Amino acid sequence: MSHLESGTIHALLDGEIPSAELGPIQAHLAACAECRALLEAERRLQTESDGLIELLELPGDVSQAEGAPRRRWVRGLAWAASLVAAVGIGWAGRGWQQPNPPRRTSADQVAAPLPPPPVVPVAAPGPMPATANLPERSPAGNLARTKTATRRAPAPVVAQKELKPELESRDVITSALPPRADSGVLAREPQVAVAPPPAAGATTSGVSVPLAAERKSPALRLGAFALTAAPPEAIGLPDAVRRLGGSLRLIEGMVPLRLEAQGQTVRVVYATAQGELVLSQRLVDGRVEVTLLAPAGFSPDSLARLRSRVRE
Amino acid sequence: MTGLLAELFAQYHGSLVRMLYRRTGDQDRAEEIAQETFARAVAAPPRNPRPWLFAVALNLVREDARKASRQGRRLVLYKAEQPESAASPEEELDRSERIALVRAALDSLTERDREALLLKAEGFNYDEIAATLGLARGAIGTTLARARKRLVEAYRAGEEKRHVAS
Repeated sequence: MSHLESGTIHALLDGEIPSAELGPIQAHLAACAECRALLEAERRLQTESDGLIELLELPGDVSQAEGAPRRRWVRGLAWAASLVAAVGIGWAGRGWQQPNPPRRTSADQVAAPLPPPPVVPVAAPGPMPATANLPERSPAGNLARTKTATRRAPAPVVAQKELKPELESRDVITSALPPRADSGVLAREPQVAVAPPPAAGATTSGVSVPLAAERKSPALRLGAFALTAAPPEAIGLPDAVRRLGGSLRLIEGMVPLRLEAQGQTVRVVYATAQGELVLSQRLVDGRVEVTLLAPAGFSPDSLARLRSRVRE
Repeated sequence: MTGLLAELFAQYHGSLVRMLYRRTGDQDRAEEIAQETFARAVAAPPRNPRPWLFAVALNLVREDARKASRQGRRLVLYKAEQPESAASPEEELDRSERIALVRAALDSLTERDREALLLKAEGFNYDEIAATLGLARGAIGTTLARARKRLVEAYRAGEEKRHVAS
């Protein structure tokens, strides 16, 4: 009998050789060291290949995902982002319109995990359900943490009423982002018009901040502080490219969560388990200045590796 | 009819979506194609449901890719998939990069090799793979041997590049 073909060996490993044909194959293997070595090599190859395929797991259980809100615009953006990288910037400026991004809902926050506080107390819209029953590592864990933190520093009722419609949008919630990023790097963003916390009873962006609450809660202070910054504005890809003079940078291998503009700065936001990672870019004297803003807990090594993957 | 559909759905939906997700890299698309596949099963109930469902789903994927190609879109997207885990940033980044490499390796295979591999990963036997892909049973062992070898080689090549780059 001639040597075994690799197809036969794989059929053997897969248990697909009919029993009537097994005898001669086994006899050959017993006599042929070369084929036994090949069998062993193919077995290792099969194991490795199976392991690679298994790496491609569905993110989350299918049955749960069916009820989950779709974030198609993010995928559209991801597609468009890869397209820009692939075919160049010129195309992007010619009228492709990104659909309006959806309002950020609680479910969206769960899908795009945010780190624990700091929290703008008024960011939890509507009545606050109990959170004690939510498991710490549940998909809603971040939401649970947010709500818990909010309960520790309850917002004045007047502030909740006034801000509720606005705070259901992603923009205002996002304006509380600065503390999550590396503050040293963030300080280089002149577009964020940071004003001092308002005086007692003063109104900032329609929020009444009583002095007592401000004293008790650093989170509240931070929230009021953040609300004075120019809120980021959701933008589409062509707009981002235009603002940067035709040269948007992206992190290779990562899919942007959204694009924002804050003043002259374009922010490409990515979700990580530690929070949102921001690739901030702005045009200065015809050149694009790029800053990578990492959430707390992100190691310098990881940041350096990501920095090396920033591509135009 | 509803009972049949419910039974098919319960039995094959999870596996079908997983295979489609591995094939497309997009969970939304995977679910949409699975829905469309089951809708077609209602219209024309299959005798041999598993190969039928997977064959229809793979046809829909190909059709979708052809449409995208005609429109000049580039659908290759190796995304950083975010596992919900307590892994460190380094581990997560490493995993994300490995997943992107597997996707790239899988995409470098021929359509037939890739599909055979994905069907095998869903527990299809050679008869079922042959029925789904319209191949001779005798060709499946060779197809899988070639697909596994190319997948692993492409992945290793990608890993090597990654290590050189870092």
